[in-house]
Amino acid sequence: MANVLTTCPFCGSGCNLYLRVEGGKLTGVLPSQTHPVARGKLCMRGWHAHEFVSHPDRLRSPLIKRDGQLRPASWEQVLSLIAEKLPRGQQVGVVGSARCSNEDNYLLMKLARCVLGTDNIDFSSRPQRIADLAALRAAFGFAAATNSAPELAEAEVITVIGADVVPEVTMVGSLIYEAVRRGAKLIVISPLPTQLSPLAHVRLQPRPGTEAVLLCGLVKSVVDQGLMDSSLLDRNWDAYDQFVSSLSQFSLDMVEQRTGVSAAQVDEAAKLCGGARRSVVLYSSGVEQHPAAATMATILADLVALTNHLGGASMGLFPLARQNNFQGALDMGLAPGLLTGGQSPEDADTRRKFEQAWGCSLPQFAGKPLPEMLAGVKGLYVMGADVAGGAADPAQARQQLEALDFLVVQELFMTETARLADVVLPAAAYAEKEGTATATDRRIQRIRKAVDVPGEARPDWRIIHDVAGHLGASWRYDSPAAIMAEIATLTPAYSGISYEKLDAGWGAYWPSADGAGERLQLKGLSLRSIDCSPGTQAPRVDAERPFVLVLDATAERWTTDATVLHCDMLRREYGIAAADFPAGYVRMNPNDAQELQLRQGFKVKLASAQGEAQLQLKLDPGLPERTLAVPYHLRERTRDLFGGAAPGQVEGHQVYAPVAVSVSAA
Amino acid sequence: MSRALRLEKDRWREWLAALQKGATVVAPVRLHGDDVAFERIDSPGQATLDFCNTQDSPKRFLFPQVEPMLRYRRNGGYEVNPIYDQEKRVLFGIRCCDVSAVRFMDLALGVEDLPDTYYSLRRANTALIALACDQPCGDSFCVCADTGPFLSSGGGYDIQLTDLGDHYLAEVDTERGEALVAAASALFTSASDEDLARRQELDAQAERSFPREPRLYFAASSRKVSLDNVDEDLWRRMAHWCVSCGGCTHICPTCYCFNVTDAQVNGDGLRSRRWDSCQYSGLTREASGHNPRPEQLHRLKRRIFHKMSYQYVARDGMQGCVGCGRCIRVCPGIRLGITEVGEGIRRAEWK
Amino acid sequence: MEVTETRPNIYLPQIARITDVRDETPDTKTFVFRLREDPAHQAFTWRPGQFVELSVFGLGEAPFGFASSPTRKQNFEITIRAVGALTAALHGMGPGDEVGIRGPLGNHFPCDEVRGRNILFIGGGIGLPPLRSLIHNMLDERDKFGDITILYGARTPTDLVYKQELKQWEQRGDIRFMVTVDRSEPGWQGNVGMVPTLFPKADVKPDGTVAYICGPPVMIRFVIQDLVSMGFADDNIISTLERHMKCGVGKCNHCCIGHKYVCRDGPVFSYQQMKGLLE
Repeated sequence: MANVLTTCPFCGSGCNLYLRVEGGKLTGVLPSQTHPVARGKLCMRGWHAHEFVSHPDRLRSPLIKRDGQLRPASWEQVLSLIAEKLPRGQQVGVVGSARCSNEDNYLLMKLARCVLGTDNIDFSSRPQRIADLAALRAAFGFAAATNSAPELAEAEVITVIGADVVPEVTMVGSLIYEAVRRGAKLIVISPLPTQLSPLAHVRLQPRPGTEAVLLCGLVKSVVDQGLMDSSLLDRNWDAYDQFVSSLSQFSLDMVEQRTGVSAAQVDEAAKLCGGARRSVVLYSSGVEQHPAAATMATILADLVALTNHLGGASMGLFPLARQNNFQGALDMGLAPGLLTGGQSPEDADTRRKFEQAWGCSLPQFAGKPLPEMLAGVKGLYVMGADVAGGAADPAQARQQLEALDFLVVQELFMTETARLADVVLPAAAYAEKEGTATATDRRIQRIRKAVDVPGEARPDWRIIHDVAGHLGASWRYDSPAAIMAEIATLTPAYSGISYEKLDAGWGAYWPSADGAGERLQLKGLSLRSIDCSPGTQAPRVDAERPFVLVLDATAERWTTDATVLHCDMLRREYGIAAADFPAGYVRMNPNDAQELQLRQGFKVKLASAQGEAQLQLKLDPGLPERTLAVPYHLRERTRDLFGGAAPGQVEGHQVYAPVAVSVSAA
Repeated sequence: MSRALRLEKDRWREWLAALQKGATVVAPVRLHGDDVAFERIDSPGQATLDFCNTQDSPKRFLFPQVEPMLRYRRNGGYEVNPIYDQEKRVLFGIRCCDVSAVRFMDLALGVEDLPDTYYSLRRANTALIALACDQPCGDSFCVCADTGPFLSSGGGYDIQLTDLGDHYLAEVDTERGEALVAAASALFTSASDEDLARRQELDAQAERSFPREPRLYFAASSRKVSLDNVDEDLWRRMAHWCVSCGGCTHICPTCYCFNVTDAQVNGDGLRSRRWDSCQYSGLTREASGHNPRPEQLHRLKRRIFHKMSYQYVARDGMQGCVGCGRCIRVCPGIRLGITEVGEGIRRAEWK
Repeated sequence: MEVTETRPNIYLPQIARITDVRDETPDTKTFVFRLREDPAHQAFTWRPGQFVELSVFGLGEAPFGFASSPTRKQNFEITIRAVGALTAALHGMGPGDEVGIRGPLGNHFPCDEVRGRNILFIGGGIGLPPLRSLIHNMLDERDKFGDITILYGARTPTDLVYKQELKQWEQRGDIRFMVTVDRSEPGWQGNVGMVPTLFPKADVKPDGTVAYICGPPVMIRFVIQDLVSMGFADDNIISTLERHMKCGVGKCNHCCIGHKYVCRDGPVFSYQQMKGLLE
């Protein structure tokens, strides 16, 4: 029997747990008491992290599609077929994974750029983040959390915006509970109810679509109350005057009118958030998937810069990565025009460094991100990503995948995307391989092998290695540790990272060289002007369509995840809503339901100016009156209501803006 | 039956080596950082007695997180074969609270007319060598639960060790304990009256040094819980701190909810059981969709009722909570360890 | 030396074969079983009100009440409605097919204890099968009990179970049997209305009568209310409770109501006992 310490494969909290192994099988899990994030705890997902690994549906054999059916084949056959059929250059795209290891993603990225000669590279959770990450990069020079997760427990003020932290990134939620228990003040800003809302000292519920205006108001209130850090005023900031004057275009009364949140409440939130030294702001999909995501992220960056909540303990800005290795996928350069650690191939020295180290030329063209990539290529290589099921517009993604000449999918289970493939490659799960993953707070941690792969499955890095070999490359990586050694030499943020270093403690933060990676030190801060003039994305309601319908991306995202659904207990628990409401559901405040003489479970028809949908009614007393919410995983059912996914502020970003609807019994 | 012996301090690993000849020895093992957990040891050097309490009780060795129950296959008609774990085990270094938890599980699962076969079999093949606590460990409140820091004869151990400084006192309480001593009898000598007096002193000293918190005032909180005399709104406000992880029930040494599922494995059918939790919605959700415990507040109420109601004490013959304190440490919501919930119930307030 | 458990394994099913299947309604069938091994078959007996955990190998186990009496032991019968994967699979099986059986489990209807008393059976829809077990038992020992009245109702005539047997009950001179439906269908000549509408027609009187009620939870609630207001004593009203069940032997904790386990302390409870249950 053994207890193998590894990093949980689910969310971005990055807990460590022990996998219990007996007789070569996983028999359970044990939390780690001394891990600084887990602190002896696990969420429901973590407690069942062993289950999907040994599920009978695990892919065990390579498959080739013949006569419309996927049939078992040998590794030699699939590798040869890939070498023969996979297009190169601009004709091919590569999609990596927020759930695979850094080593897997790095080799995939190298395969794409060095061997396939393409810059069409992405990973399937990134499209939702394009806008806010671009805004953060513009403001800070990097796009990641500024501080470490454990510091949250000692914050004085915690502001949560557009996030339901507890169900999504649970252990980060636990650190918030710990802070509140210690006396921290909690501010929750969201049009929708969240699990933390009942504990909030200040709760701001703006009308759906008006959140950007509210944040403008928050920053204005901070300035008006003189809560900026005075030491910063001595600096010669770019565009400071422009910034201040941009605030004068609106008043808190206007904010109240548009958002429904009173000036007094905004002032109270600003006073708390701006006034305390150890003040942290967290956000997730309520910001990321907002039509004004880039604006909102800019405002938040301005807010923390203004109050100088940067560089010290228990403060800063915390975008929440919901998958275990979202941050790592970004760090490994899985995006067009992005190399590892945020480096750009447009910098001549960087380009030379990579080309020399890799012994190949980097692609000269700028690649296409998802979802455009799917329309532009003839072949696609997908690792650990349900491109069809996870797309903002799944129907369109499906069509585009079907239209490809050649699709390779590397997976654990037969997902929707795998079913569309020409070649399916069975991959190892986290418990079956060595590697690293980077948590939402930039902590790089180890994944360790506890059991053998099923059947003929292989670790992702190994598969990519063999594909590269069949495509003519002569790579010689004998282990994931060797891959990380290469990453470390090419990536300043990851320099000094080695398995010895990671094994010695509880992982390491990047940038790691100087050891103070927990808190990012920012140089050359600037404030971006805030433009709240485009107004709100709040739909116009009237007597005919008196309700605002929101596509809720802040919770229930685990419900359709393949690894969750292959854990018996999680499948049962996460499947309850679907079992209770087989025709899909829309949440409504019970007072509204009563007024319309509707009851729990009733089939209702929603109608917007663009289209209709039918769903069952699920009563939610936490919703404000006249606000309806449909979970993101039901976006296909409600496609017509929203008019499909619309382009956001940044290319590649697709959003569903709130829409006015009528409700009637179906 | 009881007899007191001495074991030289630095020879306990030799005893483990002897015990390993006849059984699997499960002992506290230091994992990464300061994590300590019970694990089967391959060599005595792996074991440590330098710990307060393991973060995981030895419950897994008697009631595993995943346990195969039976295999079935078609061979003309159906053949069904139970899968039994008959391995002999010694749980070495188990604390008194955890010994008491085993005693509880024996009562709850070993009922005369319908004994849990798999538990009973493992239990019958498991020996308990306890290590008494001469100081309070972190979050425990065994003094409230009457399950520690020391146990007396009949407390459930086969042998209870006390660290007397330069040697261990070994109180042998059962025939099985005698057999464990006999495995390495050369290591043991008779204990003296001074040894026994020192043991009493250490017991009293340990008890006196328990801090004021955490405490669970069983009588006051159990009374309210048993009479259903707790405001539903109080349960609701407490449940705001619950993340529905089920950790409290998984880590608790006396929790044993389980789910049974069938699966096909290599052509054979396999029926196994795995830990379930009263904190999970699906435990009571009926096929019709009706759930008698629809909200987290109902499930929190259920957990506390099962752990400390008079009704359950009468039913099981012992209270479920042994004061180990693990539910305090395992709760991501921080506050829903049984002591803070118990205080909330007792004072009828929750801020 | 190893110690082995000598008591029987409470989780180990015996094998039973289906010997006959009868259609009752479009979604309900009665299965007739016999334990495959002869010694097991000879030893097998039960009390009305008890249940078995039935395994459809590969899918799992579910609890079902006996629908036949131990006074007729050549086989045992269970009437099952298809509601999910397991019951749907069962409905696809026929004579010769094998299932697993654990049981008898649970407590039982008071039977011997009520000798000499007047008996009232009230069944709704799929609630009649467990009552049938006791009805047959009492009918087979008819002289031991006082007046026996059976009131049965279903949503429509099509939903009535044991249609042929009901006709036989109607014709017996030693019991009073009345049937009703909520909604009529062409060809139905009998009563229309919910089961309580039969009370005045059947001249139901409390006077020490023991009432046994099985049916949908809503129906049970209303019928109990009616009986109480008619003057029935709480411990003369007997019914069954259902909860999601797994092990059936009081271990897994799925079926608890307070400290009571529906699979051990039930499924039969008197109204007196039900009132004392804390959820």
